[in-house]
Amino acid sequence: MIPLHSLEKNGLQKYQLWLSLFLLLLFTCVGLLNAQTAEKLPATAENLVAGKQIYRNSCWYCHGKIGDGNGPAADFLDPRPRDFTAGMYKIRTTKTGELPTDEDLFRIISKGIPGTAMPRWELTLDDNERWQVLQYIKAFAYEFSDPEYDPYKAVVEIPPKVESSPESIAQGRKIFEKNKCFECHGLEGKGDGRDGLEDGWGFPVRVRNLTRGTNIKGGKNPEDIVYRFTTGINGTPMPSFAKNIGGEDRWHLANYIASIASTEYSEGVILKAVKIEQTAPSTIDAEIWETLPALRIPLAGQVIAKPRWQNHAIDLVQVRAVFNDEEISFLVEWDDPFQDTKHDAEQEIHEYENTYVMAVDEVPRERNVFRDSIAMQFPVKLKSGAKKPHFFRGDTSNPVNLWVWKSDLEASGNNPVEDTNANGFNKPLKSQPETGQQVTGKGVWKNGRWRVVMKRTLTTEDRNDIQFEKGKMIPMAFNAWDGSNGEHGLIMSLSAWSFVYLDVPIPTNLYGYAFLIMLIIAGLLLLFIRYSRSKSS
Amino acid sequence: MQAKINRIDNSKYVVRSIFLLLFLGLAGAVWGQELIELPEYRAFPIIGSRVAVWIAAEVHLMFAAFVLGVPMFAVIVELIGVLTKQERYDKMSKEFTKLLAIAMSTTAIWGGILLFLLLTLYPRFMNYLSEVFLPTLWIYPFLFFLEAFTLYIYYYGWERMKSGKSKWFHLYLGLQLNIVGTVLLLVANAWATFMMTPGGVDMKTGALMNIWEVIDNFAWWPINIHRLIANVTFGGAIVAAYAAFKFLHSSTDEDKAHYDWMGYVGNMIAIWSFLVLPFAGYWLMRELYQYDQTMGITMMGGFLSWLWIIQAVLISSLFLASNYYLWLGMERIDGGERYQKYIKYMLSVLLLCVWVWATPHSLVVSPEEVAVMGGVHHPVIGIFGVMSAKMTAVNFMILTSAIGFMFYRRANKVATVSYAMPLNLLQAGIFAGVGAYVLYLGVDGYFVEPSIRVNKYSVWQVLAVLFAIISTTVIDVFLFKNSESLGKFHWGKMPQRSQYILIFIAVTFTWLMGLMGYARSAIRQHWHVYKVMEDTSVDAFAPTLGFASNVVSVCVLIFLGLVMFIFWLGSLADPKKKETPVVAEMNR
Amino acid sequence: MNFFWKIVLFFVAIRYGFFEVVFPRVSQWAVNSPDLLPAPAAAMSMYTWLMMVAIAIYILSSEERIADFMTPIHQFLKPQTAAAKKGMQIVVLAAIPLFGGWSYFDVNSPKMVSPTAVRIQHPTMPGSFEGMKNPLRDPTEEQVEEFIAEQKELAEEAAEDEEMEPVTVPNNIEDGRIALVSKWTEEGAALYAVNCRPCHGMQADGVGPMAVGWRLQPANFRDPGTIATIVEEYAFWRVSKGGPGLPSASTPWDSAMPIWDLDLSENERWKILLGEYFLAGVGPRQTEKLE
Repeated sequence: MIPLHSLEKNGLQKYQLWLSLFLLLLFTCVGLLNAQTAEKLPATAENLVAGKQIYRNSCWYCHGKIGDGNGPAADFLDPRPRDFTAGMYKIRTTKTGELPTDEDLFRIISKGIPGTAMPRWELTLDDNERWQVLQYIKAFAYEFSDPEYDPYKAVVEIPPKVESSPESIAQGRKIFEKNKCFECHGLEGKGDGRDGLEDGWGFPVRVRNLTRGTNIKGGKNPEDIVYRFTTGINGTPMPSFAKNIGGEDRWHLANYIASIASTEYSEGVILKAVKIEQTAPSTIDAEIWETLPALRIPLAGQVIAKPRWQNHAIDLVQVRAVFNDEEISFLVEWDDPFQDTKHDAEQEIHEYENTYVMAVDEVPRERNVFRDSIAMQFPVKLKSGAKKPHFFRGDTSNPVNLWVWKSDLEASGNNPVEDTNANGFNKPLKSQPETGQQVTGKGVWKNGRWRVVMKRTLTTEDRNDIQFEKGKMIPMAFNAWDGSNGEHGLIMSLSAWSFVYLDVPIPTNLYGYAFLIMLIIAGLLLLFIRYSRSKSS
Repeated sequence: MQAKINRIDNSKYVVRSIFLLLFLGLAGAVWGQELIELPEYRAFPIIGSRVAVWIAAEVHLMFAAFVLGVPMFAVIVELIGVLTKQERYDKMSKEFTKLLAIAMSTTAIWGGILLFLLLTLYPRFMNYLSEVFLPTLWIYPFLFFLEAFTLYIYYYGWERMKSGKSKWFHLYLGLQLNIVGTVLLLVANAWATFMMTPGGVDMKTGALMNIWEVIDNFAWWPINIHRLIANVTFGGAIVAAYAAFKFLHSSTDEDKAHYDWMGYVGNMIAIWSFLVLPFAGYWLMRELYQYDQTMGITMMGGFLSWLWIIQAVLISSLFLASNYYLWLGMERIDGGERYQKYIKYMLSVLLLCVWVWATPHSLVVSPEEVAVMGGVHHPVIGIFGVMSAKMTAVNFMILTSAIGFMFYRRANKVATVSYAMPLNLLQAGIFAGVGAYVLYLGVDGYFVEPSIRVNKYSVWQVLAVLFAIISTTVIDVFLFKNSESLGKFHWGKMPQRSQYILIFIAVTFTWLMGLMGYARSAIRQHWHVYKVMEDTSVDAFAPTLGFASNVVSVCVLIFLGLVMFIFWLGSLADPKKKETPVVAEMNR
Repeated sequence: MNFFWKIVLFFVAIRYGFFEVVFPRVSQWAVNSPDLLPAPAAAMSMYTWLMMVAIAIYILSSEERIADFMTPIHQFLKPQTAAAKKGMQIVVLAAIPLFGGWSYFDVNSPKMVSPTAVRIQHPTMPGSFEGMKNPLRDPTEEQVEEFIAEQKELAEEAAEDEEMEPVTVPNNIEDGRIALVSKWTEEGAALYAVNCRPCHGMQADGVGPMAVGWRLQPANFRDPGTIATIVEEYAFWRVSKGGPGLPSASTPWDSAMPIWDLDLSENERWKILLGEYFLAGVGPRQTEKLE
C-alpha cells in the first residue's frame, strides 16, 4: 500500500539491483573506451588534409611550414628541430640509414623525445589525430612514397631479451670498455669523451649524459637502449654496433646503461645539515661526506630575463652539508663533461638581439673560452613566514648572498670562492670587500663531474652575509655555468628555492611535558572507567 | 512583577536618551558642514578608529538584523494562531515579541555608539556622507520613532487587543512594524551600498548629482534582498537558541514541550530562509562583478578568497547540524523509527558534498607536495575547487536536506490513498531525475564557457532543485490526504544535545554573518566611498584574515553576551504562576 | 561484527585504505603521473575531521546507536577475572596514554618540516590594467582594408610563383576581419612558441622542457581554472609584469614568470595572448555586461 514503506522490506535488494546496474554500465563504458585501440590511419586525401590542419596548429612553429625544420622557434633549440624533407630520422627500429617505420614515428609523436623540445603529443592529440599528422609529415619526404625505401624491409631483429641482473650489468660494463664506448661517452657515461663532434646537418653534437636517465632521447629502458646500438642514430657519430657486438652482449650493455641511467631528483626540498663534533671538512675526500644525506636539486635554464637560455647543460645539482659549533661545510656536485678553467672576459657577450640566445653562432659554445662555475644563493635576512627574496638574485628590498665558486680562480691557486651580493637580476653581482670574504672552497673535476666544497663560519659580523641559525628553514638556491656550453653572465642554469636545515637536539623539557600529558590522559581514562563501571553495575 | 515594571521604565529611559543622542548627532553633522576646517581623522585609543567603528557597526547590525527579522515571522505566527484558533501560536508569537522589545533598545544604543564614533573619528567622511544623504538623514529618525512606538504598542497592547476586532488591529500593527522596519533597512542599506558602489555623484569631485541615484545605487537592491532574507534566518536562529536556552532550564514537561516546539519552529524558519540565501548572495556578487570587475576578483580570487574556505566549512557545519537536528527530531515522533535506516545514506551524501564544498582550489601545501603535484593544485581534488563542483555539492546538500525534511513530515503518517504507490514513485523519480540533472550540469560545467556556467548552468541547477522541493511537497499534500496516523509528536522528548545543536547553529550564523559582512565591506579596500573618496587614514590597508576573524569573533562574543543578558532579562519578567497548559493541544 | 567495530572499520577503511592507498593510485592513473599523488596533508586532515564529525553525528543520531556503540566499550572496561582478558584490558588501557604522550612528543619535537605556503592564485589586478581590451580581437576597418590590399598583392605574386601557396583574398570587410585576426593569432602562437613554450609547453599544458626545474610549476592553460576563468586584461597583466609583479600573498619569490614588458612590445604581448588562448583551446572570460 505504501511504496516507501514497502520498499523497506525489499529495499536492500532493490538497492543492490541498482548498484549492480550502475556498475555494469560503468564497466561497459570503460571497456568501450579501452577498446578504441590505435588503429593506423592510411594516407588518404582526407587524412592528409586533417593532418595538415593539425600540423599548422601545433607543429610548424618548430618544424617550419614546409617541414624544413626552420620554424620561428628553431634557431633557439639544441638539438635543432627535425628537417622532415630530408627523411633522416634518429630514433628508429630500422637499420642504419633507413627510414623509420610508421610505428617508430608514431611513438616519437606520442611520447616525445626526453631532454628536447619535442613534447608528448599523446597528452593533447588523440590517436587518430596523431596518425593523421604522421601521414602529413611523411608526405614532406618523397622517400616515404618510394617502395624501394620501404622501412618495413629494414626492421632490425633484436635477440631475445636478457633480464637485467648484477652479472649482466657487470658483463655490460666490460663490453662498454672493450668496445671503447667511453671514447665518446666517458668512463662514467657522462658524455665527457670527446668534444667538437658534428652531426650530418653540420650542427654541433653534444654527447648525452647517460647517467641522466630522464634525458636519454630514445628512452631509458633496456628495451629502448638496445635498439640504439643496434640501429645506430642516423646523422650522428653514433654508429650501429649490430655487427661488432653479439645479440646477447647488446642486452648486457643495454642493462648496464639502464643501470647507470636511473638517477632522479630528490622528492624533498630540504637539505638536512648534520651536526658533528670534529672540524668541518674543507676537501672533497673527507670520509664524512659519504655518510650524509644528499639533496638533488633540479635546475632550469635561465629563461626569466634577457639573455634567456634554454639549452642549459647543468640540470641537476647534488648538495650535502655538515656543521659544528663554529663552521658549516657544503659539498656541491654536478655533472659537466669538460673541465673549463679558463675565462676570456673579452669574449663575453653583452648585447642580444632576441629574447632568447640562439643555439648556434651567437655565443661560443666551445672549450677554453668560459670557465665552469657554481653559486650558492641565500637570502641576506631570514623573513618571517613564507616571505623570501625572489629566487632569481633577490629583489630591490630583499638582497641575497651568493657564494660564487670559479674554476679559473681554483686553477690559479687563489681562494676560488667569491662572497657576493645581489638585489635583483638586472644589476651585476657585487663582490664584497676583501675583509668580507669569509667563504673558502676547493673544487675537483674527475670523469665528467665537479665536486666543490664551500665552507664558512656559521655567523659573521658582516651585515650582507647569511647567518646560519639552527632549527630554521634557510632558503638556498643555485646558479650554475658550464663554460664549454657557452655559459657566462646570465646565460646559465638556476634553481628555485630549496632549504637547508641545521639540525637541533630535542629540548629536554619536552620529555617532561609529554609525561605530564600522559598522566592527564591516564587520569581522564580512569575517571571514564569509573563512570563506565558505575553505569554497568 | 516589580522587575517587569522596572524594566519598562528602563527601556523608556534608554529609548529617550537614544533619540536625544541621534538628534544631537545629526545636528552636529549638519552644523559640522558650516565649519571650514575639519580634522580628517581622529584616533580612537588603543584599538584604533577602524576597529572601534567595526565593532560598533557589527554589533549594531547583529541586533538590527534580529529586530527586523523576528517581526516578520512573529506576525505570521500570530496570524496562524488567529486562523487556526490555536492558543500556542499566539503564545509563541508573543514570546518572540518580548525578546524584540528588549533587543530594540540595545539596537538603538549601539546605533548611537556607532554614530558618535563615526562623527568623532571620521569627521570629513561623515561630513561628506551627510551632505550627500541629507534628506534621508531627516527621514530616518522619524521612521525610527514610528518603529519604536509601533513595537511597544504591539507588545504591551498584546493582552488588551487579544480578541475580536481589536485582534485584527493588533495584527495590522504587526504589519506596520514590518513595513516600517523594512523601510528603515532600505534607508540604512542605501548608505552602506553607496560606499561600495556609488552612483548619482560626480565620480571625480564627489558632488551630489541625483539623490535618487545615490540611494538606488548598484548594490542597493541585491543587498536589500540579501539582508531581508538573512534577517529572517538570523532571527529564526536566535529565537531557536533562546528556546534551547529555556528548554535546558525548564523543569516541567509542559515548558519543555513548549520550548522544544519553539526551537523547532525557529530553526525551521532559519534553515529554510537560509537555503535561499546563497542565491541572493550570488546575485549580489554578480552585480558587484558587473559594477567593477576588480571588486569581483578581489572578493573571489584575491586576498579575500581564503574567507570563502572558512565560509564553506561553516556552511557545511550548518548543513550537517540542521540535518542532525531533524534526525534527532524523528526520535520524538511515533513511526519515525521507520526512517532511521536512511540516515546513513543521507549522511554519506552530505559528507561527500561537504568534502567537495570545503576543498579549496589552491591548497595549503608544503614544497614537497608542490614538487609532486607540480603546483598548488592537486590534479584530482583540485577539480573540486572550482565553481561547478561547489554549485553541484551545495545543490545536493539542499536536495538531501529536503529529503530528510520530507521523511520528518511523514514520520508518523501512513498514506491511505489508492494512488500512493505511483505518487511515491513519482517523488522518487523527481529526486533522482533532478539529482542526475544537477550532476550532469555540474560535470558539463567544466567544459563550457564561464559565462554559460555562471549565468545559465548554476541558475538551472537551482531552479531544478527548487522544482524538486516544491513539486514533492505538493505531491505530499495529495499523498497524505486522510492519512492514517501512527502516533503523535512527543514534544519535549528531545535529548539535550539537540538543544546544544540549536545554540551551535545560532552561533555559527552569527559568526558567518560577521565574516561575510567584513568581506562585503573590505572589498572597498582603501576607499571610504569606492573610487570617490579615498581613505587616507592610518587604517587604509586590508587587515589580515586572521585579524579580521578575531575582530569578528569579538563582535560575536559581545553580541552573544548581550543576548544572554536579554534572555535573562526576559526570564525575569516571566510570571510565577503557570499559564494555561497548551501541551495537549500541541501534541495533536 | 558489532556496531562499534563496524564504525572503527569504516573509519580505517576510508582514512587509511581509501585516502592513503586507493586515492594516490587513482590520481596517478587519472593524470598519468610518474609519482603517486596523495592528497596534500592539509586537505587530508580536513577531510578526516569532517568524516569524524559525520561519524559522531551518525552515532549520536539515535539512542539505540549510542547504546550499540558504547556497550562494547563498557563491556571491555568491566572488571575482568580471566587472565587473557585482563591482560588485554591492561595493554589497551596503557596504550592510550602512551600514545597520547608520544603524539604530543612527536608533534612538538623539532622537525624538518617544510614551511607550508598559502598562495593566492588570482590576486587583484592593479587598476591600471582594468578595462583594457585586446585591440587585436577587433581590428579597425583601416587595418582590415590594409590587410586585404596586402593579401591582393600576395595573391598576385603567388599566381606567378609556383612555389608559393595559393593566397585567398577576403571578399568583404567581415571576412577580412576574421582572416586578419586568424593571421595575428598564428603570429601570436609563433611568438608563444619562441618565448613561452620553454616553460608552458607547446601544448599549453604547463609542462615545457624548463618546467621540471621550477618548484612552482608553470600554469597549465588547458586547466579551466587558469586563463579560461580570467578576463584577458588580467592575463595581459600577468604576462606584462610577471612573477615580481605579484603581491606578496601570491608568493612572487617562487614564480619564474618573466616581466615581459621589458622585452616584448605591447602589440606582441596582446598577440601572444591571442596565440596562447588558441593553443590552449579556450577563450578568455567575458566581462559581465552592464544592463
